[in-house]
Amino acid sequence: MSLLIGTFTIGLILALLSLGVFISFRIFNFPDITTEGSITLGASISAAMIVGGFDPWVATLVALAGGFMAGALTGIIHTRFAVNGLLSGILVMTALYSVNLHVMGKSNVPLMSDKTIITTIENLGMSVFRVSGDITLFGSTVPVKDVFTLASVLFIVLVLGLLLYLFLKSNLGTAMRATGNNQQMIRALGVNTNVMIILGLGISNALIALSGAVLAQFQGFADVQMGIGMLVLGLASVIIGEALISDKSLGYMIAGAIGGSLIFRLLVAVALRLGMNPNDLKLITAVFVFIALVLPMVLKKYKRRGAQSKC
Amino acid sequence: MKQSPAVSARTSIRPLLKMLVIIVAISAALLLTDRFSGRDNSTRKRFSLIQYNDSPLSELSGQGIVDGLASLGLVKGKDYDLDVANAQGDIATLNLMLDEAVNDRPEILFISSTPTLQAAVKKISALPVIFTVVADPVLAGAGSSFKDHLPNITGISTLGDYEGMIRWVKIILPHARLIGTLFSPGESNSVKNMNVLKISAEQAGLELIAVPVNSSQEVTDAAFSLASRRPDVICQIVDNLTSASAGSIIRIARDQKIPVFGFVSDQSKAGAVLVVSRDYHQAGADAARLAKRVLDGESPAKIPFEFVSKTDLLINPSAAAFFRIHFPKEIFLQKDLIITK
Repeated sequence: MSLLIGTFTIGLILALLSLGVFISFRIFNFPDITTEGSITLGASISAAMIVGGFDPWVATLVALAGGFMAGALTGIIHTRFAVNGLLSGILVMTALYSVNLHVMGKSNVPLMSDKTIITTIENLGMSVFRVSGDITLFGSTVPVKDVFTLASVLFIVLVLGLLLYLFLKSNLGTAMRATGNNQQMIRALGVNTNVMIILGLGISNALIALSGAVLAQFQGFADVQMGIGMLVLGLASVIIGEALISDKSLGYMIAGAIGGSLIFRLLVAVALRLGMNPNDLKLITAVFVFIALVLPMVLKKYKRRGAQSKC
Repeated sequence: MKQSPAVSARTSIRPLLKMLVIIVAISAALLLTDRFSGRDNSTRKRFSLIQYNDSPLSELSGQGIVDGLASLGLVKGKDYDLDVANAQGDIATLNLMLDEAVNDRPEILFISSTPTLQAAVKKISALPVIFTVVADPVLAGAGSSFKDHLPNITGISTLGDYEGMIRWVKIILPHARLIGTLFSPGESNSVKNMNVLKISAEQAGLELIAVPVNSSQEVTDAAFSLASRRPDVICQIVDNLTSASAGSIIRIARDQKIPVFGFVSDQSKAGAVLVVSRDYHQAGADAARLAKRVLDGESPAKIPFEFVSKTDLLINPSAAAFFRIHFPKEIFLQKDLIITK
């Protein structure tokens, strides 16, 4: 049970990352590698501020703003200086490595007994519901605070998913999506596409930095290397979500990005549970993701063939 | 390219069905296997070892744990089972591995490296945790001192023997003024090690050139950059990044006629003239010794953190001959001296 709760919690925290990647990858059609820097930026800003005595909520909001600036910077380099999008992201990501070291003052900031948004929520939940210690779920005992953490992360992800949906449905959001689809058309309608790209990448990286800030507070430390490989994770989540969702309208795509992140983490958890040679972990994870992607397609084909043979 | 989605008034769960089914199915599978994990009927003890990434350090210490337990009369597969998990550098997976350990309830949870210790500090409160390959457990948040620490955590610190290294530099190369190292600003272990080496060097009147390196692709360039500043000797400190690429650092330094002194025993074979090594295999064996004390009923709270108990001195005479370095007689009187062929 602890593993399942932990998996869902991490999966949902990283769902914020996949929502961010969804914006850059699906709306603007390029994998924005700023991600690997901005997730660490969010973690390091929030950790450094919490250790410095700031309120954890303020720290988390500043982390979000920091992510926005990083993304906007990538957008500015891309649009104003006509640098290839992928390279703009690489530049900002590279620069952020040093920035993150400066923000934290060292490579790793532990948040051991500091007040974080996670501990605040846990304490709030325990005092409102007048429970503490462990509870029994499906025959195994789990610390009740873990349940509150999961519930609150779920709440945050649902609210942000909904806000993102509403935003992308608004006039501004629609213009942004149109920028990704057909720049010439939307420019002809008088929309400044450069502003759209800068704003969009800003929002994308704000979500990613938020993911980093929550992750750092959940796991109890920020580390300058924690961003490595995160873009790939986000892309995998978005694509898994897409593959498993049969309706390509916006709301379902957003739900898919969240669900994709959950599924990815669940598959890693299964690989862990099988307890095989640790060197094979990544190989097994890759195989599982592959199966999850192709299984629905294979089943469909099989069903169709079955239907045909009946006629 | 995908079409801009049409505004659809209908909201239905149907398109999400496939995804939800998969999520529920995997969750159910995990829940069902919960009861099997960790509770088998054998009389063997169960230990877990969680590592953050693959490096010679994690391999040596892992082997050390097994050998150490064997020397205490516990044989793997007969007296105990050891689950080894390695997050391969992925921090989200590392967190899941600790959750799985909470599920599993092994009698002892061994962990190696600093990020693993930090995650364990946050997540594990009910299991005895024994760490190894952590330079500074206090900095990692496991306690306020080696004696006063979290009640369920104890272990072995592997901070290198920097004073010992500087002493040998002064003896073997009395004219040396400048020493160099690469370090990885992204690893708190590395920064800590570099600072300790720097302090030891300055106390002995030596100057340290430390060149930062952020990824394994940069190691070659950084090594050339360090060599171009002509240090008398490169004393390569220990961290995950440079210990994985020690071979190329040693080769480049050799081409530039700069000898390398190292802190990891493997590097002696790779051509380091002298290695002052905390024995990482011994670090694992020391962790096993602490584990035995916990199994015998001692509380981890009462066991202070320890430094690894053995420091080896390795010399490589053929590498020394290449640099025309002569080892003084006293080096051959050291009791833990190993001569690499």
